[in-house]
Amino acid sequence: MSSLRTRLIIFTTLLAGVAIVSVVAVARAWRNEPTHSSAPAKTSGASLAALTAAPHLLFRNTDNDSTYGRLTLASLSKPDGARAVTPLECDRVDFAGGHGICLQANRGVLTSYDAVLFDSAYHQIAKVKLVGSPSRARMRPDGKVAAYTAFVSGDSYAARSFSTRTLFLDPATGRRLGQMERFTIRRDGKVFRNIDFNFWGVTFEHHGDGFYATLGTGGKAYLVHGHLSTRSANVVDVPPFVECPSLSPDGTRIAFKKRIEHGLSPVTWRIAVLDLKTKHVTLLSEKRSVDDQVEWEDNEHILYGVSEPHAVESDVWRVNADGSGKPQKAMTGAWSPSIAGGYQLSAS
Amino acid sequence: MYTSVRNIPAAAVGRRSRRGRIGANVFLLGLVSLFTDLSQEMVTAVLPLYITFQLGIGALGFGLVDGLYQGSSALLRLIGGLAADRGGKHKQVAGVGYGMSAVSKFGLVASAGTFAPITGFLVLDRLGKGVRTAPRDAMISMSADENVLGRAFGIHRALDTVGALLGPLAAFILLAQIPHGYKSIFLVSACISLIGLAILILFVRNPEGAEDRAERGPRVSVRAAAGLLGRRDVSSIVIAGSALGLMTISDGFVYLVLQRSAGIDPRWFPLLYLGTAFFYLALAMPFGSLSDKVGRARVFLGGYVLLVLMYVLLLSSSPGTIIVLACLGLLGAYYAATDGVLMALASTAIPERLRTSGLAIVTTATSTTRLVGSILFGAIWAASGPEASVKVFLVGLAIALPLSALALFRGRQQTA
Repeated sequence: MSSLRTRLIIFTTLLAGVAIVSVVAVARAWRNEPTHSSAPAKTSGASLAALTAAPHLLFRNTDNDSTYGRLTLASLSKPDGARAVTPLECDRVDFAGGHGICLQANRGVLTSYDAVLFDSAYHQIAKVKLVGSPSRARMRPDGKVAAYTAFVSGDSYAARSFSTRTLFLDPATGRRLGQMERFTIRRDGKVFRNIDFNFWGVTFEHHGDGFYATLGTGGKAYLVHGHLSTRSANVVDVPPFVECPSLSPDGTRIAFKKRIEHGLSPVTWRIAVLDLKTKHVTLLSEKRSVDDQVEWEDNEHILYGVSEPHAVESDVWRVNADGSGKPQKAMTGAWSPSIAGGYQLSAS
Repeated sequence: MYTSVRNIPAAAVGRRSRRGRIGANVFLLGLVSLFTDLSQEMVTAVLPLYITFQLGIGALGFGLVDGLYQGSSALLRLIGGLAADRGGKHKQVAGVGYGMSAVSKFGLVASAGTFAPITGFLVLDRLGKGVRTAPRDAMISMSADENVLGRAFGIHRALDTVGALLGPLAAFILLAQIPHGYKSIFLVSACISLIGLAILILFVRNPEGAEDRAERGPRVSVRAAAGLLGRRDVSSIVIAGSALGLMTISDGFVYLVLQRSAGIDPRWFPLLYLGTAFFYLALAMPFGSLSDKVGRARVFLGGYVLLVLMYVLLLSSSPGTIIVLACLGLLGAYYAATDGVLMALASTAIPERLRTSGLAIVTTATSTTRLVGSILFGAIWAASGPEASVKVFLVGLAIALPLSALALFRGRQQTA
């Protein structure tokens, strides 16, 4: 081996190189981080009042500028047009009946998560601590109930498998109305119980207090149909793995993410639509993996977010609900779209 | 001249007669492990967040990755051990292992968010860990006098744990500042792993005489390595380590039990891990020295007595801060009293010629039973809940402990 002096020189050179590469990498990532951006909004501003007067969309803004992460509004007739940015920061958002739920992350050395309940002026009414990182958020169309799902153990030091918690909240006060894990579940009329029950992805019926959700147990996922008033739900007799359901405006179909197995490679998700009457499942023409609870734009179209790995920005795409056509980009720099002001059923 | 060749730190030379010699290799290998662990823990800390949120793959997919790399390192550990003994090239074999982990970090940076390569690189990292552990521990054991082996392993494990403490801290601080900066975290991690590898290549020396021994002595064969199990002193260590490992609740589960019973906010979860590491770090050297004085088997078994105490505390219905802290303290102390001490204990039983293979056999046996124990614990938890699971393991460990003590002390007497 060469002399100690030579080795020390080699080592010091390496240390210097490593330090430079690390500092440059971190500095570049820092500059690219949208929350550090002071760039003006890319999309021209519109007034909140003008947008809320007509049917509109709420979504998480993912333009890489100073509006990044903010709850933002756009017109339903021109979703990629002018935007109005609110002060709320949301990872997931849903709005209906004058009330909204916004799941947000307070990033720090130890990240914490909150559900912010807000009114039609986008003012915070109540804030509830989440037990884990946010996954799904939905409002009942009448605005009287909010539901959310959070991962309980998304941490590396936690269990090897994940668990979720799904809660119902009163959006006017933040009071807890029910916890899915405590509901009575029945299958074929008999009580169905297992210690590994996980629930996620609530979608509400448009009238009454009925809802659908996913129940995961024993490596399978089932669609359940329940009622908040009776704190109970039944396993729906449809094929398994109807996950993250989203009920169509006319209440006849459920859009969901369909699990596609690839042997040893990880599972991917295709958007599919289940006809509740015929139990027929149609795969939609979107071929990319979509791990999301999708949103119906109207009875014929579905909206969903797509983001490339490592990308800060994401886009919202639109696809026909009957499997026809090709997916089209509906909005640039958006995520977690929510149709506000109710569906215009007669207009469609 | 003897002293300068062996790279004895100045402080150790003067007290050599009384305290025994701990060579520079031990400290250097400690630094290698510090940087490698720092690099590794940075990735481990953010990987689940990265996979589930950035790539949107879902936690189930992550379970697959985790399972894949659990099983993959056992075989390679044995192969690595044999290879190191055969040529007496412990440093080179360990270097291959550290190199594999460094390559895997750069691979993560380059894999641009697709899942299959990420899985591949994680497996490569685990395999690297499998290859390097036994030759590294063998080098530590050959770089210190026998009467201070416990202390030498304690020093190494303490340095190693510094890295394990700093890694998550560095990762979370970086991620707090740059929430989308996963790739830069991976790159920093890869750079840090290079520092560890460079210390090994540039400064660590193969233990003196190891190559000579390998060349002159009979060729180290699989049979010769397996023959170690025929020796009472070695087999008793393997049996005791395996039996106790089977009844060890993995720390992930310990934290989950604590989190549930004490109602700890999940975001504090990383702190449980850091708390344990802190106690481990503080106690690794003192317990190692203690084992040199009062006997390594005693301290090793004492560590499991601490673990029994922790199981008892785990069963308290609504533990407060003090009990949670006590649990972390006992868990850290248990690690400090068992991990390096077991290697020191095994090193005194295994001849230098077969040291790496022997240590590989011991760690493969204990880590395999630990994995089985983990699966068992999870299964009982799923069927009857966490309390039942802890109770079963408490009873199991209480039975395994005296039996292991008997095996260890009898095994020693037979050969002594």
